[in-house]
Amino acid sequence: MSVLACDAITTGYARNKPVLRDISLAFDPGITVVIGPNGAGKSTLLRALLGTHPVWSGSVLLQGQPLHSVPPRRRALRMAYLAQRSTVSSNFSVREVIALGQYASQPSSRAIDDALERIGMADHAERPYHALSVGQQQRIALARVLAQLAGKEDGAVLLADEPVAAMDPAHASRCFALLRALAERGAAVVIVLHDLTQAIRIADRAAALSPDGTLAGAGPATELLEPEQLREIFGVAFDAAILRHGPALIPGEAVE
Amino acid sequence: MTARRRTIATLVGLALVLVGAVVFRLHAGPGGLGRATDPFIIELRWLMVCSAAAVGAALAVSGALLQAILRNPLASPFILGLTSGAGLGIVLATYAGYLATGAIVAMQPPVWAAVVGAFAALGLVFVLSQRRGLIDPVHLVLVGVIVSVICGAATTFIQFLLPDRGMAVYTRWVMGTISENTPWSRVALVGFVTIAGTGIAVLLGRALDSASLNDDEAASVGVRLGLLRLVCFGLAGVLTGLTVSIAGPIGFVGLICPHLVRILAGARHATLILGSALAGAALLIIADAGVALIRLPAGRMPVGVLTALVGGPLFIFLLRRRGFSMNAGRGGGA
Repeated sequence: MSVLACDAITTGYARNKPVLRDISLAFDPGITVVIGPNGAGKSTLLRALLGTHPVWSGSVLLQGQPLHSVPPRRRALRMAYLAQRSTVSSNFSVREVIALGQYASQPSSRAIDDALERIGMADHAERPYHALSVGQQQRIALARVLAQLAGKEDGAVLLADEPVAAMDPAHASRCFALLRALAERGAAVVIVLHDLTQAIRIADRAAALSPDGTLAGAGPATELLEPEQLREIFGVAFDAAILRHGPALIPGEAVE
Repeated sequence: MTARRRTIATLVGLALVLVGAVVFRLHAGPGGLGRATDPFIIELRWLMVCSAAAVGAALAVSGALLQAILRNPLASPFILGLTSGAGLGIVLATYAGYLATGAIVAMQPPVWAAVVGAFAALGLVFVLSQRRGLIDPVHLVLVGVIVSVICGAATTFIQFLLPDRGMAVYTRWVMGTISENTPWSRVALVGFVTIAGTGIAVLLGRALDSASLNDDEAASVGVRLGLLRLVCFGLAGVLTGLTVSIAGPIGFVGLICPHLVRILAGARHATLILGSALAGAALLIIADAGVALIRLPAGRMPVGVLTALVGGPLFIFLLRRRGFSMNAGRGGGA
């Protein structure tokens, strides 16, 4: 039984115009990246897996149980979500923002301190969240989900939508290391990524969506993230190379 | 100062200000400041104190709830049209009663009509300000102001249809007044509901904190957003409707108090709501004492005029300073 699975889900925003069509995927402990061109429905897929975007048909199963039958607080103990652009409307301190992740569990200062330490922002705990840069806010969002899943990593799910989009390379690398550590503790980490070099370097498995919202492919990352497949999905020629720090996928010209 | 100490200091400070406001109001009369000896006057002043405290606290809690759940610092029962809707509800019910019986029960407007009016206005604003399922903060305020203006115009029109007797009474009431004619039973009802509503809102504090995240993230940490919105809107509608039924539409208390407490104690909602209740009660008691001390040839000035004169400029200040954001210091680029 997979930690998280979706079975033949179809959904969208406007009736008769589905964004995702008949998608079936299973997510096990490890890192799965979701790739696809703009508008293919990657973020919609994450929201459908989270349960905040209703599916028109098909089902989402969390540890074998239909997602809609899992009460929200219990769901929050098993599954966390990192939005592409995390927003906080109240003027909280950094510590208070991280504590928001512990709504469903007993608040733990230790888990917050630990999360702050791991993202390298322990000395920012009492700073106003809105005084931070967007990249720093993205790191705080990561700390929030780390605190949310603290002690419950085995069998947990983290859905992350472009989690390093605003980070510099050093912090992006540190962030991926934390996500890898989470996966090694037994969590299924699902990441939407546009940077295919980052994708092939961190992913165990990959799932690709086509522009029409169907599943273009799913499987081991090394098999799916290769130039021929990517050319089909993105309509762009790719060069693959093994560089000093790992594999790289470099996009070339668009192909007809 | 730690967050906990800051919270305690703020709440204790506001409680002391409230006690001071009560003492001040009990000594304020048309002849200036002085201790009343006539038992009738003393009872009348206590009635005004309790009425103002209940109305002020209810409006402030309502404002804090609306600002939290709509993630909009400019939200308040007055700006979003709840008070105008409640006023229209009362005038409509009175007019219907007048058509049915030929008599006006102007001094005791029906509570249910005010609550229904507040809900109707809030529902309208909520639906009209949505775009693709999201509430645009600018739209929300604009739609609220427009609904408020339409409700106000409809209220004036219906008043115009009433005979002179009703017109005279309602003109004063529509401006917002802590009336000496409100029966104790109704003040007690508003007071009891306000205390209960504040208690429920304080219990929702952690959920409201987490609802500060965007919808998807709030749901991901376990918040039942739909239910939370329903409860908050329900509380805001009932509290506002009740205040309008005894005091008419009093503006800006629901806007100012949550901002004041946020500056003093931070943004955690349990403290914010409790502090807003204390601040709202104190503010309206002080404002009522102020109008009691101001001697005008035409009689006592409605307290709603004073709160609007103070609150209006403050609203513009907040609008300019915060640029439709709940965040005091969004500076970016650290």
